[in-house]
Amino acid sequence: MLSGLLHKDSELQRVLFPEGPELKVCSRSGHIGIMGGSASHLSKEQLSEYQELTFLTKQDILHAYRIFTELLSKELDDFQNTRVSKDRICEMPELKANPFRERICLVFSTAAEKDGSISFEDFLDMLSAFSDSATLEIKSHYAFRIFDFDDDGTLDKEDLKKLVNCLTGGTSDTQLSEGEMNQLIQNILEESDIDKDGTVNLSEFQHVISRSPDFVSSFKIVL
Amino acid sequence: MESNVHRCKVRMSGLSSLHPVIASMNPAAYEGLPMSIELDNDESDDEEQDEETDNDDSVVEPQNSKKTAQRNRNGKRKTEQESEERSEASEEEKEEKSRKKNVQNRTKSTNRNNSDGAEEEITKNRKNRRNVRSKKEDSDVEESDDESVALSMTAVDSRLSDFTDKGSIVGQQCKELLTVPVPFFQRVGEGGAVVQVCEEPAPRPHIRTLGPEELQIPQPPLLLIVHQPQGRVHVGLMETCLMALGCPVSLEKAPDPAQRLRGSREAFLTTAVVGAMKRLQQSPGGPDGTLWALLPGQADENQAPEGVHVAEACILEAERDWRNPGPDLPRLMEVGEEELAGDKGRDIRNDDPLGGGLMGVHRQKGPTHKVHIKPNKGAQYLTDFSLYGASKESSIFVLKRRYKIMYQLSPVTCSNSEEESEEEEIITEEDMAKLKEEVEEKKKLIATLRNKPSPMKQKLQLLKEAQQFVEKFEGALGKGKGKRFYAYKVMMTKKWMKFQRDFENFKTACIPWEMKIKEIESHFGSSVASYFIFLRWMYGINMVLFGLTFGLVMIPEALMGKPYGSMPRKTVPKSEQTSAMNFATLWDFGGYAQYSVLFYGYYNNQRTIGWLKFRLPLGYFLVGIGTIGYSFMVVIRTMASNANEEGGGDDTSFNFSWKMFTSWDYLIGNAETADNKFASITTSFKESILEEQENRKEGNIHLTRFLRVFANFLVLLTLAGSGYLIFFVVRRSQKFAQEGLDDYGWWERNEVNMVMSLLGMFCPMLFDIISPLENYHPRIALQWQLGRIFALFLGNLYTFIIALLDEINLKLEEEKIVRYNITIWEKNLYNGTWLENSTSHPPLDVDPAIVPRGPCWETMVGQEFVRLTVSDTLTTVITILIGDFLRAVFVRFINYCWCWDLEYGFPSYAEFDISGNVLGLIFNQGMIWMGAFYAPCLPAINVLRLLASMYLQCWAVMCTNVPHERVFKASRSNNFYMAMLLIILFLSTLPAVYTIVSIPPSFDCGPFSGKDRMFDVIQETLDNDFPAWFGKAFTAATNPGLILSFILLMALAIYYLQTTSESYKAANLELKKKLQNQSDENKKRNKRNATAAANQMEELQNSMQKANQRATGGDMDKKPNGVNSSNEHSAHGAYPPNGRGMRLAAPPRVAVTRPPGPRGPGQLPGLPRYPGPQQYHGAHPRMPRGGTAYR
Repeated sequence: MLSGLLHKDSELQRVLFPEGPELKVCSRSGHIGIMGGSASHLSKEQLSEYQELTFLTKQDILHAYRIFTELLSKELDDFQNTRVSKDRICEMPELKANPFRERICLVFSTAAEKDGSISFEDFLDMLSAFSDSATLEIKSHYAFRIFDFDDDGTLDKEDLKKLVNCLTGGTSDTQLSEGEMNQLIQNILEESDIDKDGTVNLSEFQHVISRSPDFVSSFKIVL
Repeated sequence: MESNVHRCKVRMSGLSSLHPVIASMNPAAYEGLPMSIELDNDESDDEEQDEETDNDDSVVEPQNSKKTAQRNRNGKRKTEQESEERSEASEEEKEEKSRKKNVQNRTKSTNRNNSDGAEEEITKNRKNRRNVRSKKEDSDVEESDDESVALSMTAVDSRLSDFTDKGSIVGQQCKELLTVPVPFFQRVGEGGAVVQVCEEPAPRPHIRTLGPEELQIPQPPLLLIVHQPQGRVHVGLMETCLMALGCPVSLEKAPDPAQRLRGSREAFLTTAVVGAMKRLQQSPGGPDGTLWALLPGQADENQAPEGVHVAEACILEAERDWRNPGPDLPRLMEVGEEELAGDKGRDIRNDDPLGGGLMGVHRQKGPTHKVHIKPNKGAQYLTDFSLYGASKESSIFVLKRRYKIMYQLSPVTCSNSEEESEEEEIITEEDMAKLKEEVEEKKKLIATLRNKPSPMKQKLQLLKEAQQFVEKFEGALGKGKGKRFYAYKVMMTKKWMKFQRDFENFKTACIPWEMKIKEIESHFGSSVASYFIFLRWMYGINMVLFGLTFGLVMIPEALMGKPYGSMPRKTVPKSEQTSAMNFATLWDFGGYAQYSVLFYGYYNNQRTIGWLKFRLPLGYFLVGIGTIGYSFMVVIRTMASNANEEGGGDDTSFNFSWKMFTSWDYLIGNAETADNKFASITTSFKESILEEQENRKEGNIHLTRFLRVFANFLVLLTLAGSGYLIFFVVRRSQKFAQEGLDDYGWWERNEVNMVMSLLGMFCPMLFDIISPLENYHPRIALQWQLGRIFALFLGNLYTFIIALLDEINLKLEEEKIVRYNITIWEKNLYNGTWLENSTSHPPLDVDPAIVPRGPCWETMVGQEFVRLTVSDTLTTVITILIGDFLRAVFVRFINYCWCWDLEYGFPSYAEFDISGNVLGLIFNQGMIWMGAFYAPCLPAINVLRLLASMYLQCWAVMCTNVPHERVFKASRSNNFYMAMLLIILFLSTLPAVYTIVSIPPSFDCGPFSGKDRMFDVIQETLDNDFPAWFGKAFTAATNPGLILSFILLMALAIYYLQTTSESYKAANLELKKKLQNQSDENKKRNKRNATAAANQMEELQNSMQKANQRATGGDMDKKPNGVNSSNEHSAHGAYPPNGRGMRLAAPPRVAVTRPPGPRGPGQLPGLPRYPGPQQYHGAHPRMPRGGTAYR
């Protein structure tokens, strides 16, 4: 909500209401108090199973549950099977500014229709992969899938192009010229494409990523 | 008709190639498919008998599908009429129908009179019976020669024969199964599909998807339901079903028995089944049975037609996964408990209303399945065999069971429970070991499941399975007492795990400001957040320091020490009393503040205080040492752990790729930050391209050099100037102090602090102006900048300290004079009588406020540091308020009436200055470490300061700052901060230790007064509180010789460790290289293997096709090889599980889901196990269980 406002307005509001209503973003994340009625839908077993299966703590899961039900904003009886549409997920403040938000939804969605809608378990999967304690292995795997725009299992030139466009914001003033783009992609392939097949596959990708000092700390989304 | 013959031929050829016994079955039965059904009297007799005994059913020829079906129906169905007839020669259809009805009626009423024209059948029945018998014998022979073959083969055979004897409809069922069309085994949506194969004759063979209501239509006597909730086919189940149905198709293609029992079984099965199905589907007449595809969720028993007798199984794994199996997941396609609940609830054996041949797959506790086959109503015969499934171990059980079944498959009755109990007992030691291993493996699986990038549903499934498995078999381990102990151990482990997890949760819940920091993180990215995390960390350290000083020094002195006013050092001197409570004095930490527990001078040198006999001087000394020691420990430990995390950022060979793949900070949740990030990424892309292009082009190197030297010269000048300024100011302030502060105003009093703060504020700006001269890369420039600020602060601090030392010396001089004066004063007081025995202190009855006292340099030092800290805090606050807040307010509101855009123009909003803030924090901490010994209140003040700045800066950053453009990676700088902190810690302890060790303490204030040196307190304690020998030993241990040699030893150890670590580093690098090579090699090999496997598959297909051609007369030629294409399809649709280039080698990879079998060396041609380290860095999320050398 907070970040959703344009800078000017948020600035104004911040100045006027330093602890004002728009800062409720942080207050919604109180840990303990959320075990109330709605949280009872998560049984203890489920909680412990989710803890077993994700890198999230109990608080994280409950928090995720809260946010998810907020996103659902419907009756909560069947939240396990209800899906939140891609658009709603992308509207989340944490994902709003992310150029890969649609890819993230698509990658983590298990919906049969491939519409990127997210169920609660998908949501947990996502948070787990983006959590602090997730391993490099799992992070790089998902990063690869996010970057693999056409889902063909390799990063080819088209994928890389799209990736560069995503990273540069896609606006005209930040976009790279054609020549720069080609140069860049060529350089990347020179570095990463070990088997010289013109694409970067998962293992090559992970090889590159595993040496990067920044990846684990930046491939992170916190609710 | 024609098609039927064809099909039969197929089967026959398969049979004959595989099994001579089966082949020897009467081919005539196939050839001469009956046009009509005729029941003879004998048959009827049999049936009658069966009905009466309620045990068996009519004898049916297994190979004669039509008849079998009808017979079966006759036998099974007591109820209504058949709905439809099979597709036969059209003119016979009606006739048949009527006959059938007749038969049924007859069956119901046990009336055998209406059998007409059954002669033909009789002969066939007889023939077939003979065949069956011979087959049985042969199967017995077979058992003896090859066990593994026998395992499955004889099971099938004997079952076949049993069914035959009992009049089951095995052959028919088998045929019907094969008529399942391919598409139904492929993915049907996400939810899957249920394929029902039913024998019910329909007017036309057809395949359709049923709604629930439609299900009520037919009443098939036999129905095979295969659930496919996720589009996966349970191969083991299929095989079981096939075997149960007596269908040998699955086995006929297996090249060798051993392999059949391992992984390839599935592949063959699948190919065989699918192929056969295709074949049958293609055949002109179409399949005889009706194929029902149920929608997901409709497969429960309630909805199934009444009287359905079913082999029911749920298949939960995706098709692609048994073709391309994840290596370390046991490919358990398990029947969910709930899904078969209905099965359990109903005892198929007993309440089967129709008495038909029935099959059910039960899921027992644990990962085994049971298929109950009952040929007819009321028959006590029960076959029980488990599926390959959950895991290797469980399948070992399965094998065992099969073994048993093999022998028990004689048509005697045997009860389920008996069998089970027997089976439970035959767990051998070997099995136990294996089981244990398996349990361990499962546990490991549970622990590592979260590392798998598979969707939650799948993981949940696996978890549940594994947990159930562990639960079931954990108890079975161990014997007698050991068992109990084992159970106890397991329980405790569980409890412990739970406790640990709860504790983890609790710990994370306890981390303060987590949400605040996360919010900042999401707005400003990880770099700004790193400052706050650092701040929080500092807060933690200071809390500990505060606890130490507060709990062990201040509280005891305040509670148990002599009260205020009891002695001169605890009393404000008379001359100051008037102004002691003035705010200005207190603000300056003079007056009452000076003569309180806050400062060194207040503490008494009394050896023990209070009823606890707390040794305060010793405590004071040890706390001082402990503060420093603890800080060192924490900083170094954090540095070490950070260094570990950093891993290999060893080379720059992936410059571009890193920029590309890792530069986006996913924490950014603010549109503006995102825009900045976009811009900075673009810039960095462009920069690096330019760099790359102009890598060899060099500018005017001389100019650059000159500029750099010049810039550094300027910086040096600035540093020197600031140093001199501080020195000058300190000197001046000393002069002021000597002359008495009263004559001077606020500025003179706070000159030193203000000058230092101002220098700290403005010099960095100067550096900022200078640094563009150097034309460094931004990152390097930032480091230079940080280094310079560091040097500035350090220089200032040391100038300050040197000035302080000067002052200390002055005070020491002053002290001598004061001491002399005091003697005179005392002499005057007591008329000189005390001179002789001045060793004993006189009980002063004078007011302590008027007793003359020394200058007490320790308190002075403490005061200086406290003042410095406070003024530093104030400067920070004011900077934030003016520099950030007022600026933001101005820019925000004046922007409406200003000539240019203030927000994007000149003043703009402030950026959060990470490096400056971090440096400020670090230097502040340095002052704490330096001054804490002389002002025990310093940690407390610092805690307050950090707390305030946490909230203030959090607020300020969120409401006045804009995300900054400079890329400042958190992970890189983390250890940089720590390194600076360590340096500061060292540098700040130096003067503190120096003063403690080499300057004599004041004679009349502080806990060490009257001693020569402060550390004498240790000697004193040793002498008084420890036995004499201990003191001696200590003295001996502290003699210079020993200490020197000890230091030498330490130096050697450090040198040694250094060398070792370097060699480790080298080895590490070497290993990395090797791994890289290996992975390259592996990749090549994988490719080779993939092609080889693909070839193999093709061969297989070809041979199968050939066989088919032989059998069907070239039917298959018209079809492209569907299996392969479907494989490829699935491989493409599926995400490549590990990108090892194995995608094409689909079928052999099935081997990983291989059934239990012996685990050892049995490898399949298509899937070599790579013993080598093909997984470097554990980079492959899914690895085969074999070859996990690097796990």
